[in-house]
Amino acid sequence: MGWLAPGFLAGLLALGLPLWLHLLRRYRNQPRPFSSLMFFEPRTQSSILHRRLRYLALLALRMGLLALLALAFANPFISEPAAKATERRLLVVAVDDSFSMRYGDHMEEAKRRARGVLDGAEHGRLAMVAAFDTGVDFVAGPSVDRNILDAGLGSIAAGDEGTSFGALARALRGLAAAQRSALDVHVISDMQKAAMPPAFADLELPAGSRLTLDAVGKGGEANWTVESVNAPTRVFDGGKKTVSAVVAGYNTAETTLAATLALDGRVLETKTVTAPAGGRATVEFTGLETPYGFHRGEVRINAADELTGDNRYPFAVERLDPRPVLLFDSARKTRAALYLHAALEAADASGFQLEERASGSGDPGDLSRYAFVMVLDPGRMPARLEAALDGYVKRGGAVFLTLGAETLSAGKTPLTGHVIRGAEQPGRGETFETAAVTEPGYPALKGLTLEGVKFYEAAFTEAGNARVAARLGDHTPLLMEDRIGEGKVVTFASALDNVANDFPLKASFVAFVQQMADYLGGAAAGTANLTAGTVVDLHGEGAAGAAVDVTGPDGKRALSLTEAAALPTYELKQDGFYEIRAPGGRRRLLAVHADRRESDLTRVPEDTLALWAKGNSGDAPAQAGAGEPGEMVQKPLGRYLLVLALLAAVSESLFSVRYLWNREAA
Amino acid sequence: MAARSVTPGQRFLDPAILMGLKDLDLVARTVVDGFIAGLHRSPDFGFSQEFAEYRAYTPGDDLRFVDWNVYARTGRAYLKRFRGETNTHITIMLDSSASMGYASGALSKLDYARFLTASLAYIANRQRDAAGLIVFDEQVREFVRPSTRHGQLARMLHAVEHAVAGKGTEFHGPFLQFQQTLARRGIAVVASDFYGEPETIIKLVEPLRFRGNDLVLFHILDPRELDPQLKTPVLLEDMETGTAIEVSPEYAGGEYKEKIGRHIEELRRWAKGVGAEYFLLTTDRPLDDALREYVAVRQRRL
Repeated sequence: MGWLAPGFLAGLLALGLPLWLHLLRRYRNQPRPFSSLMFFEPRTQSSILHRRLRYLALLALRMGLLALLALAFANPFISEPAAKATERRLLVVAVDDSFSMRYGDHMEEAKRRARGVLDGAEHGRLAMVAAFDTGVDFVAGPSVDRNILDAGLGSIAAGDEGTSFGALARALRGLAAAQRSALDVHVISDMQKAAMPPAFADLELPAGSRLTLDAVGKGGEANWTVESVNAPTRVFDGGKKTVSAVVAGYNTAETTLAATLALDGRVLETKTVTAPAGGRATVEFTGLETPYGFHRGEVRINAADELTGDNRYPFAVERLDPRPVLLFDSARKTRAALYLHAALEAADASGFQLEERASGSGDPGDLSRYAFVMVLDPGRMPARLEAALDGYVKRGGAVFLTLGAETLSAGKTPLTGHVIRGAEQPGRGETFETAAVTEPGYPALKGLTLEGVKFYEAAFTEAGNARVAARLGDHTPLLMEDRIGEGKVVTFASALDNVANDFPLKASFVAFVQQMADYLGGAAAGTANLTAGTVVDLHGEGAAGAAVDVTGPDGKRALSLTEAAALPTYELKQDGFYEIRAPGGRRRLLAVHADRRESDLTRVPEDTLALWAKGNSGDAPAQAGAGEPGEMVQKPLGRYLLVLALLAAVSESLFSVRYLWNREAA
Repeated sequence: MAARSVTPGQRFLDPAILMGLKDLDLVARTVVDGFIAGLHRSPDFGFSQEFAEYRAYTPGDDLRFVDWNVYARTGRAYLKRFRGETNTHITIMLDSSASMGYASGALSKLDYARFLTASLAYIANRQRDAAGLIVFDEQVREFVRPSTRHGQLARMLHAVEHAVAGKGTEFHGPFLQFQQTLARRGIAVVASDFYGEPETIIKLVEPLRFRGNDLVLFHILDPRELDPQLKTPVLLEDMETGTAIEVSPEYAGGEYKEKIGRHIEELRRWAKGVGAEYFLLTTDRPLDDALREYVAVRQRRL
């Protein structure tokens, strides 16, 4: 036995405190005067003895409590043979269920070997079964029941996601900490090179763990894949569009393949492509004709390999009419409208048509047909227009506001009611403020910086509860978003007229306007081509708590009713098309393809695998007790002492209450 | 003026209330006046200047006692005689031993006995009886010879006022003193807690009775002495000897009560055997019980 923190043993000096309280300052039984004792007899020893015993028990409990606390902080340990500690080692069988395990019979072979590992474990050994790709699922255990472990093993099937040994190592480190046990890890995988993390240190397993790597397959099998497809996600006219695809071969000879473009199961075009040995070739289709609505496209090749899932590449496309955008121009007729118009039209396939109207015009008309509304420096907005815009936003519409001189004089922003405390007017040409993106993930600012943009005039507004995506150098909110009802109002606290700032002249302005238009018009939510394992936001566009319907590639609903209302996000695990129906009739068609890094079946070099296994051979000292036969390991006893201290504290409370009650009653 | 529902002075007979009065003379007046007021409402008792009989005037009689109303109606002079005119001696022996200092509440047994003594002295003074006092513990601490002289009441009250709880109890010495000073028969009143063997105590006081004295024993106890209420074992210390014993609640509630009850019965029996009046008083009882006992004894002497 030893002490890991012997300094805390000094706390045993505290034992003197109860001793002093009990023995030196103990309650003296003061005799009570009585007129005469001629009728009394000294016949009371048994009851007095009980009280003294209770008193001594209380003293013992108090001293015991302090002693246990001091000992617990000193962290005692006992040494025991490593062989005995090994009995508590947790066996973890980790099976790779990434997309590459679909190759041939790799998955069946992996599961067969996993059963072999469990068969080889001694009876009663605590074990877990895990499936890993880019994440880790512990599908069974910890358990000693072989049936449970077999059931977990049977539930593992190859998916469409990539592999990450780094994620596996991270999960195992967490498991060891939670179980407070050393691990015997048996990894069964095709050991793809692509699964290795950038840093070898990321593969480190918990101290004392023993790692066994079991590779299935030969490694470096030949495989063809449609590596990528470049297809439009939205089409705004009926013309033929171009789709290009990259066909890649790994460990393959030069081959000529037939590549086919299909839309909704109908073959549109077939071309031949000759790919060099172990190289890539691009094939281009020009006949993508898209009717109105959502469509499921696919580019596939007729390669004869055993990993067929990557021989096709799904993509989603939507045909829709350009949507009108209403722009209320400033009364001052600045050039802001011109810049916005130019920026929107600069898009290759802009889905928006700008309609301009003066903000002072009377009847705003039916706003519901507009994708969104832009209001430039509204100033004191006519009440009728403001009411119409407010109703439009509350019903799910979106408004983009810019603040110029007119609004500055009004003192507050329309619709959102932010108080404008003044203007930032450093003076043109002399001093200026710069701006920075504070929320890089904001949809309208993705991939953008406001670097180099000079702001000469801006409204100093109170953000309140608004989401602030960008600020000026003095922390004045520049881009704010307010949620009102079902819709949103985005406020740019400066004008876009090349006077208040020079933003319209910067390259980032076009991207900003287009991304803002996509965001406010909801166009970004239509179609997307994603990799398996991507997590999508289910309620980002809808009201929280409303049910979102997700239909999987198999045509079945992927979520229960409870999940549909409660789940904030959903992971797209399978290859194919997912359809998401949000409240309000909004639909999204997402094409999900298997992780193409999985197509390269090249194995991690043997020496690297050997180094990984050797680095986790259980040689490292472990507190939990792994080691060679004959080696002694330390078993800490601190937590047991703390439990005893807790019991002593409870007992002391009960005893002291009874003792004090009796003393006061006497 | 609204009629008072409580007899005037009666409420002052409560010993706990009397503790608030500093002046022992005032205590005595309060008690006795209240007591007398109570007696006037009683058909069973008479007191003091009650009419006893008429006697024909003979030369030499005091003319102040001639009933002139009778003389006016009959033409013959008669003297009106009162019971109070029959004077007697009363000697009060007040035990001031340490045990008399015991008090479970605000009032100790000695306080109670002092009030009682002062009240008896006051009555005696009104009756023109010769009252005397012996305060004793192991020996005689104060002695006031019985007398009807002016200032006797003040002397007695002064002695009572200065009676403090002393040491142990010894009856022999004080009683001997009493016998030596006794010039004529009268009433001997002993106020004590009588901690001692009943037979011994009674044999010591018995000689007082033999000389034709009326003997009244006021046995004064605290209510907690009759019924000690202990919740847990406690250490009790004898106030006279200083010895201490740890006593359990079971014993105090059972065997002790039996023993002190037996002690009281023995005292009562022995007192009756020698013709003495025994009266048990607890310090929570009004003083008029004791005064009523005394008056009854005195009336028998007339």
